[in-house]
Amino acid sequence: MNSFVKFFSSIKVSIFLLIIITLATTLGTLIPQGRSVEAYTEKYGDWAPFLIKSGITRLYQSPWYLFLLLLFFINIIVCSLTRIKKKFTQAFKPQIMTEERKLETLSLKKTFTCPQSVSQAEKRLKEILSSRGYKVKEQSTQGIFFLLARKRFSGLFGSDIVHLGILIVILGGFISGAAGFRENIALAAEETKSVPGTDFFLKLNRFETHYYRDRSVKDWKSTLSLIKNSKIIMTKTIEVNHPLSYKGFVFYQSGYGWDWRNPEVELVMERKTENPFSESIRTIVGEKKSIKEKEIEIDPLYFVPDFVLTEENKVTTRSLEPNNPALYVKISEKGEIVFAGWLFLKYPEFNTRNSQGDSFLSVEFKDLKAEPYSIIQIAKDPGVPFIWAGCFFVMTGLFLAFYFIPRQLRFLIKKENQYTRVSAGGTAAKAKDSFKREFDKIIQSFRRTG
Amino acid sequence: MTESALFFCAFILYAVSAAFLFVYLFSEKDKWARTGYQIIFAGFIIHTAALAARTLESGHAPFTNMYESLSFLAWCGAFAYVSMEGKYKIRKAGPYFILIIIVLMALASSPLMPKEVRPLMPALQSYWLWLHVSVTLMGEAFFAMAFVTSILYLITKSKKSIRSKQKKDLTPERLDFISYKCIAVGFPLFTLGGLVFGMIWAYKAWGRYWGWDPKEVWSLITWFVFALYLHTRLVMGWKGKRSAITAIIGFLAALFTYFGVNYLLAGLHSYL
Repeated sequence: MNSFVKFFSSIKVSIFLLIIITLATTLGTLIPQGRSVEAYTEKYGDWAPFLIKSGITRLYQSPWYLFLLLLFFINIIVCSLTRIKKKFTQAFKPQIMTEERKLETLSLKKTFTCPQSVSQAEKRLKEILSSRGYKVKEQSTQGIFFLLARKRFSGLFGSDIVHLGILIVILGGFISGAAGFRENIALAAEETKSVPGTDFFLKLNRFETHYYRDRSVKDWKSTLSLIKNSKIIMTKTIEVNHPLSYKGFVFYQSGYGWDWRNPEVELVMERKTENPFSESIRTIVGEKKSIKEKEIEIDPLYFVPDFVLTEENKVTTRSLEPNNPALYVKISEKGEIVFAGWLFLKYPEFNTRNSQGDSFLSVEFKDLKAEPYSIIQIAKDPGVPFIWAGCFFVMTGLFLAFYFIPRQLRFLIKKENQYTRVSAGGTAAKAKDSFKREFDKIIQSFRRTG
Repeated sequence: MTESALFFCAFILYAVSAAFLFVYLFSEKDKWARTGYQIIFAGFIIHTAALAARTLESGHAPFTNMYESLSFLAWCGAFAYVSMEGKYKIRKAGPYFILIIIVLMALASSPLMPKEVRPLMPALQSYWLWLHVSVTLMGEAFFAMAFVTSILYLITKSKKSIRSKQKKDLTPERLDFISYKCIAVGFPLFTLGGLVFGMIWAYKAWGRYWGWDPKEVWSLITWFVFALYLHTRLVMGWKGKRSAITAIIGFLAALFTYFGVNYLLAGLHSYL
């Protein structure tokens, strides 16, 4: 046990751990994380199995990375605890008495004599010190007075508060990893789905996409209702950066999309020669429709929102965005196929050449309507309060450690012949320059009034 | 005056100020340094006006694309310089640092940086944009200052034996001290802006406070390096050369977080 404490209380071990963790963390940004086995095999070849097995491809969740964090966690606790006792004594049970030769070893020191009596000198010094915000403690023995004057002593604990904050953040991280839950659900307007792991339901009342003038997306707004036992508990319109919170669950506007399974399409048929006509029809992909007393039959067979040809010349969709909507249509007249091919909503000039045979029929893909849906991320993360608390401690501690630097002055006042002899000394860990200026001022203003 | 004219004015003033300070470096006449300082101060004020004009024109924070953010980082650099010079009189490190500001301004005005005002994408529409970016970049500007003083430390230290006549305000000890002071300002700012505000905003916008996104990870790496700087210095008593090298590595990590991640690693921060 003793060697365990000794090992983990060493600052060298902390530095070593910090370097190792920094290097490991860097490694995770050099190797892409969380890809498929095929992607790694393609990129790293024979190294791929090693990378996957060693956890490097999921580095930040790998046992050894978490183990490093755990070691770091223990190291911080042990380091802080072994040092804090001394700090507490220093802060709350300080030694007030001192010796002259001890004062002489301090970085700031001054010894002088003055004509006042010992008690007058002591009183005057206390006045000056407290007017400068020092808290003064005193003690006397055998006619010698001792003063201990200190300010900003909470700064002594700055680093400990930072470390406490980091411990809470790491703890919060582990809690998030172990108990956090996150899931995306897609909802069309008026659709209701149950919230996983609860007895309540989420209903999307309305979903809107707002655009800027240049047609880029300004915002998505989903009006959500939470329903429990068929009763609406609350309704709120969420948007990006403005989620809905309810009993530890948070609902985010995380994405959007369209239901491409059977969108509604509009087609315009036209014939200029021989029984000319022009007619527009609306139908759903997959549903045949006929016009001209069933002489002409239109069969919209397949649809893709973002048409692209693969290397094998197969049609597929590049994305789920309607960047290049294309429709495969078969048209027959009097039972004979007169047209079969791809039509493009945005690029009619690329339509498969119209009118096979001699019917001179032309067809155009005019309009498209698909049901938009909203993707809502449902998250519950019990680690979050720890993270915020930890951050608060870290920031408070940093402020204290850097800008609330403790100052401590000691005085020894005694009678020497007909005069009073004052010895003073002070220490400050950082910001020595400004402390020296203050020290000189204190001594000056005392001697001036002397 | 328009935003671009103000920006250009500030750029010119920074360049003139650097010229004055370089003259001071060789002539050692105080008046050059004083005028140089006044000029960069004027540049800083005009640059502030440029950023304000940009904000009024676009209706959002002046750091939503590379041009804006480079200009803002240069402004933070000018602020860091003006405040550190005001407090610690670092004149002879000044011209080198202003060179960094000038490089940033030059990069910002390069034709490769699109300058037109674009509407904000949904994820960026938040007041956390102001808090997160401005505080982080201010922290990074102080890291840049520490970088310059650390490099100067290494140079003056190695030259010491050759040139015995040391300029008074550029002793290695002073440079080491100023590096520390810059990091003492930069580190809390970077922690607050980059990590704390970043986590709060990520939680509001993406539903998680931390997602191991490359930009997040590199902020953490930067933070670790400066944590190392502070611990080796304050607890193990490292000073001078080793401290300077750590500070330089820390700044390079910060630079990579700001710049490299966008171009070399894919992630959620791809818009900036």
